[in-house]
Amino acid sequence: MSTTATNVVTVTFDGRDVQVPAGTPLVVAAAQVGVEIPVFCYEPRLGPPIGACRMCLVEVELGGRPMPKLQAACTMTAADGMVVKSAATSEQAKEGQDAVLEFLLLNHPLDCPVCDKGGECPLQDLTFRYGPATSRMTLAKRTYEKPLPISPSIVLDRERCILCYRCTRFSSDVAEDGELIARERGAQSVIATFEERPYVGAFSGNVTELCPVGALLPTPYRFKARPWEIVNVPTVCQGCPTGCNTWATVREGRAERILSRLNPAVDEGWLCDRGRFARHEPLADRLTRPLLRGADGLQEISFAAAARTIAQRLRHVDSLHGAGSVAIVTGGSLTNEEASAWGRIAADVHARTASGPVAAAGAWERLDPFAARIDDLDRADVVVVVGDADVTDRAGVLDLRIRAARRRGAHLMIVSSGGTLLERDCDTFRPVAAGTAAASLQALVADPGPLVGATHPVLIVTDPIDLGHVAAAAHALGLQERGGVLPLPTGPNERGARQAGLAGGGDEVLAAIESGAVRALVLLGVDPTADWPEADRWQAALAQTEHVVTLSPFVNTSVSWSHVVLPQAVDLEREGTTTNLEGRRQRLRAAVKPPSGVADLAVATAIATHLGIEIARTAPQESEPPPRAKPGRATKAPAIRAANVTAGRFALVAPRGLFTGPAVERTAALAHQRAPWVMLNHGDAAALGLSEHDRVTVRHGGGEHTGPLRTSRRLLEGTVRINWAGSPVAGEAEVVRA
Amino acid sequence: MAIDTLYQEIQTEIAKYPDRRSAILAALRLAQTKYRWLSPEAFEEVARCIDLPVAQCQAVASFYDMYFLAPVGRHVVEVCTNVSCCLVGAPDVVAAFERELGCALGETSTDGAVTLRAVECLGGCGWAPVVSVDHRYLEHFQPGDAAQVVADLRAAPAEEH
Ligand code: SF4
Ligand code: SF4
Ligand code: FES
Ligand code: FES
Repeated sequence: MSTTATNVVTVTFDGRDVQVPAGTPLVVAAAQVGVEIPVFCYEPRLGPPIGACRMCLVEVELGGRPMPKLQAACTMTAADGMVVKSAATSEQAKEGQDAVLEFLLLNHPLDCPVCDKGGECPLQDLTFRYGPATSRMTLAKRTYEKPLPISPSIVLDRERCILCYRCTRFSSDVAEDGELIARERGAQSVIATFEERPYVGAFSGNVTELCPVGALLPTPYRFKARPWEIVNVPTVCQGCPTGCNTWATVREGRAERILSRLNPAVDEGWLCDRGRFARHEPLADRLTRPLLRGADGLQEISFAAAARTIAQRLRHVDSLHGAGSVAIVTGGSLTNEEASAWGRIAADVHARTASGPVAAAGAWERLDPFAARIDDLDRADVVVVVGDADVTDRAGVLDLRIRAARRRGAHLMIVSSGGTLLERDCDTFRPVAAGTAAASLQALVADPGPLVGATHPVLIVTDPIDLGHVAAAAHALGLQERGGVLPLPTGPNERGARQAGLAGGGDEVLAAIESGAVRALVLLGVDPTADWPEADRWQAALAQTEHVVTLSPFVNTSVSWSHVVLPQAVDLEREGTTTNLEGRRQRLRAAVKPPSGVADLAVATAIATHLGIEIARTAPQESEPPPRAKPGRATKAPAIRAANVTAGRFALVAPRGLFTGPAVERTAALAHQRAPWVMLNHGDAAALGLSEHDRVTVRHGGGEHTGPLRTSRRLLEGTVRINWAGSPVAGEAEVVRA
Repeated sequence: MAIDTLYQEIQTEIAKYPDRRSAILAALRLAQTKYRWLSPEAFEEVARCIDLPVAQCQAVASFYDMYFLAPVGRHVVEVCTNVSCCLVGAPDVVAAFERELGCALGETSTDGAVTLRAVECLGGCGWAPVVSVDHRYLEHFQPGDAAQVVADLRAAPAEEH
């Protein structure tokens, strides 16, 4: 509700006066003087109120004259001199509210004892507090087939639905996927998907939290716990560098559910389905004991022995072969405290380090003079997204904030080879050849389009290109003085790892291993043989390294080449802080214990101690994003290599998406989100004699990808886009009917 | 190519509005004219042409009586069963058509000639009961009129919807 501060009005609620800006919904104004007006459908994050449920009925008097009917306090806005009576003081409002509740419950099954929502259900709570204790409904209630899976992660119970339209509004107006609809009309209305197909969308799980009744529930949590048996632990999602705030619902030492925990500056109370559903624990293939390779392969050893062995070997290699013979590599899954311990170990053994796959694409400090915060999107007048990857591939919930910015009136410009999620409703779409984000930035500087005259533009580059290009473009566009750049690190805490002394790129470490300079390699929660580009080269590199130490929660491919293996904690088992994409340090709390019983920080500290380094215990500190760095001098953009595509073949776009990686692969409830597909330009498909849904195979440098065809009129001709889940690939590909 | 005709026609509709969403009704009508009913495939085609989620197209179509979400016969008889028409005998009109066609409300006669549907207010309450035959209104309809209407329709060629 935007209104000027001068336009303040006085409204009286049950005899209490309150001053609010004109236009404030009555429900909000009432809450300010402690008058509760119960609501079901009202939810400001879903856009303008729609007045669907009628729970908020109140008696309103304006200019001394009572309004003829009860009014919905969510759609009615404050006007000067309004006198509002809630059900607490008005007989008429009380009667209206009773009638609404009785009506909402007419066909409601009242199966609270077997409903997962029971105990944390607004319908139950408000009925208890306000409702008539009895019903006059003596006829049989309407029944539906139930439960109805609307996807492998969400079940729908239509009998319980009160048709508040929160879920469909989320789908059409917030996530803008439009997948969840109300079908039919009036009393026949049901919540549904098209032809009962699974609801596929990166943010679908949010509807289970929005639903004010037990109609939409998260499948993995069905019949898992009752509210009085659980503890909700406040922590932070480590699925990507957004760092959404979460509650981990714990029952008897197991994390059963993830809920959002509203942080307006970061997540606005939304989560993506990766953060919500990707299984965190327990996993059947979890490592629980340290392993040491001996004559008979990997054997269990104690943590103390493992720490001593690792310290000895690192010290030995360093003193024998000198600086750079040890390499310590992470993918950004460490806490700041763990990263700092490892950073000090790295300094002590003169190690090469890496905090991400590509050095030039991970030097985030280059963007510090242009640093934007996530909530800069709320003030942005222009948002430019450059790159072939989707924003969700890099930072899930950021996508929703960009959409919100566009709905608020910001100009959204997309520069990509097409087929991305945000471009359907964007204001400017600039199609560019696949893999040319760097050149596109130069073109943007030459022709800034909507950026001309923009006062608060925000630039986001989704492809992992040399950040020199981004810094040069940001400088040329003057983003040190207006707006800024939102960085998208590769790992959830890549920024923290860099700051802790583990900066560098995997590409440089790989080259050093291949040159024979590296004798000992420590992999801190990253598996470059699966997650990073050049997987084959990494496998060979691991095979030739004398000492490989792997930290991992479970058996991964790197383990087979490792000499020492340490079990690692997963997100929900970690205590400490993590730094999100904008540099905000947030507190992680261990909701459950690691199956090994030993904290990762304790192991790192033990290794450090063996090396003679003292790691002081400090209390984890949260902090806001740092202030923007002083603008530097303009730097020259790095040279751009042009890639040509062989005739008859397609330029390949295969960004590693949100629904990839070990945790997602282990989650059945996300299988539908990962189902492979192939996207071609509408005309290319026709030329190949292919139509929508035909099964198509794409052969590329990393293997084969087969899935149903999606055609797009915006994806550039000669380009094929796939949701490849393997080690990152680019280049060109062959497309054939499967 | 047939598909592109529909695509072009829908683009013409989209051009009439500031927001392409507004063209959904017209786009669905065009698809129904082409295919006689809105099959899942037809919805998908419309969604691709108008560049909106397919579920949104179905949500809109399912709200209105004028879209056929199941295959229809060569002709469509729609009886208004809303309040005014019901008060003056719409149920008897429905019964008469069911008898003449040998099929229930919502079904198509076995010879494929006529689909019988119940619809909401046709806006002709003053002339109730109202029956719409291939979108042409017959007013003050009496149960006894049904036999002649059915006989005529069985003999007549298919109508566009
Ligand atoms: S399913 Fe839940 S959120 Fe959706 S309309 Fe029904 S009650 Fe509301
Ligand atoms: S956007 Fe990232 S941080 Fe937020 S819930 Fe999804 S994976 Fe977790
Ligand atoms: S909260 Fe006001 S009508 Fe639903
Ligand atoms: S009720 Fe039948 S035409 Fe209005």
